[in-house]
Amino acid sequence: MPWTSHATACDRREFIRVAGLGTAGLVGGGLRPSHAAGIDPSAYATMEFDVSYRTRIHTLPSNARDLHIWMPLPSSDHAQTISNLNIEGPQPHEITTERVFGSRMLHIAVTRGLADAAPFDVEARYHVTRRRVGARRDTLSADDARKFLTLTPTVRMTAEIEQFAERIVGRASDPYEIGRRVSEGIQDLLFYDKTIPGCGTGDTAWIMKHRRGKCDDYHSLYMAIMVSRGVPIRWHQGFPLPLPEPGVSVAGQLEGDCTGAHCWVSFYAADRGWVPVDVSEADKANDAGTAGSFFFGNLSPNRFQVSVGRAVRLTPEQGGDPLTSFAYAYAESDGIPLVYTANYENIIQYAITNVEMS
Amino acid sequence: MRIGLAATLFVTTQLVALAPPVAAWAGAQDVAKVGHPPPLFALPDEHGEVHALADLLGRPTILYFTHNQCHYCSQVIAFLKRAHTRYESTDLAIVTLNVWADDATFIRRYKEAFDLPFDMLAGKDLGLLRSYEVNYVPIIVFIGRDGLIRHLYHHYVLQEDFEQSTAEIVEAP
Repeated sequence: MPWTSHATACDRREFIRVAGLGTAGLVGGGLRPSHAAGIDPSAYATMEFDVSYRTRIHTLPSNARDLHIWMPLPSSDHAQTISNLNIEGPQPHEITTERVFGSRMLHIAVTRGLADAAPFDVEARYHVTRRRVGARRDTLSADDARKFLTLTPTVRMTAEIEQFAERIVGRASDPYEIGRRVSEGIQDLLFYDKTIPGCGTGDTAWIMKHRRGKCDDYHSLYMAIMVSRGVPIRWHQGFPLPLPEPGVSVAGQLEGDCTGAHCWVSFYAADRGWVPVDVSEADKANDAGTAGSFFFGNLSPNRFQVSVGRAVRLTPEQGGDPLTSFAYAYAESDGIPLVYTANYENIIQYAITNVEMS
Repeated sequence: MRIGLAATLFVTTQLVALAPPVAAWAGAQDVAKVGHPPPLFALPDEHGEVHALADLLGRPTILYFTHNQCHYCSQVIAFLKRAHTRYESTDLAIVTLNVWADDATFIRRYKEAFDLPFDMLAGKDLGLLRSYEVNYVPIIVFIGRDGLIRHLYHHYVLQEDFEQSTAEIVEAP
């Protein structure tokens, strides 16, 4: 590797222990490593779980004039049904919709009484029924396709990535075949580095150079190459859950900063519709000796989606830069992002209530 | 860490405008590498005063890259504060760079949130991000008195490694 790091030699739990944090309830990014235990994710048909998504405002800047909080709210679609949504907090809220991809969010604005406002909690509770899904037939107009062919400042093509893309895609012109080749090529290229606890930007140039990363890195590179080949692609942002044995109750807590989320993508092929792909899970499954090919064209139900798209502009629009992705509640005061852990914290808990196999 | 005569006009401009930081690049190399000189930069603090890394060369220096949404970064700040206290009587320099910050208030609020006793610079600059290969934060860079990067930690650092790296750059002749 081009830089000296002890990251591969140490364990994140050890880091947390040494840093004095303790380990209870922490879950790393990406889906849980159920493959290692010999569990076949393709055997899971549906999962049901309760989610508590809480944002705790600890303190506000001393001269704060306003406070805005945006919390992603999952929507129902073919892959998941959201029910029993309940929102609690001392401040009035509104539910708004992101303008490009239609993601729902909870927005809270506080403009009076700021001196006495903190601390307080905002909590969204809901029930999720998540299904195993495959490709979904759909049409896509040229206008709509454009928004799925847009890259971001960090998800970009470079000469090195183009060279790699030429090698793995070859002369393929069918979107499905391109998607398969890119998925397999990226799995060969990258090493899933579970020791990375930090917060990534999905910088494809960095990923291509260092050839390691987590779901955000795998799918950023996938997105860049697919767009470069003219294949519309959609970014799905969500959270991972473990795959419990049927009848076993599992509850836990997801890390509430930028390390505990999971993402995947789907690309559009006219003859198949939207084809889901989870490249990082495929790579992890293959490494564990289970069938990673399942994750090309299929998704296991141990996840839930909270938003779509990258470079997210919230509604109403935030003062800060577009968010790399929108998994975590984001807070600002006077257009300046609050500081995670010092000013606020996200606490995301789940309890799996039902699992169906097939 | 005050800048020299050549950059005086740059300071003045920043004080007046507090515009998004415009880094001054000395172009030592493309990217930060252990055993090489660090890519140089000159960036403003919360007062709009520009600080140049070139002025620190010759002193043991820790560069720390972070942003506002990094849980682990707050743990590393505890390491930095301990080093700041322990080596207060030495010439150790600790410089933090917020890669989201382009504004004086932005930095002021971050420093207030963690009660930072050392400099924080507005690090939202594409050249800076690319030269230090900032994809994941935190990134911690240890620079020796010889002006060379001694250790470069991406993602996180164990306390033991942090303390050893700090001792190495401070205690080396």
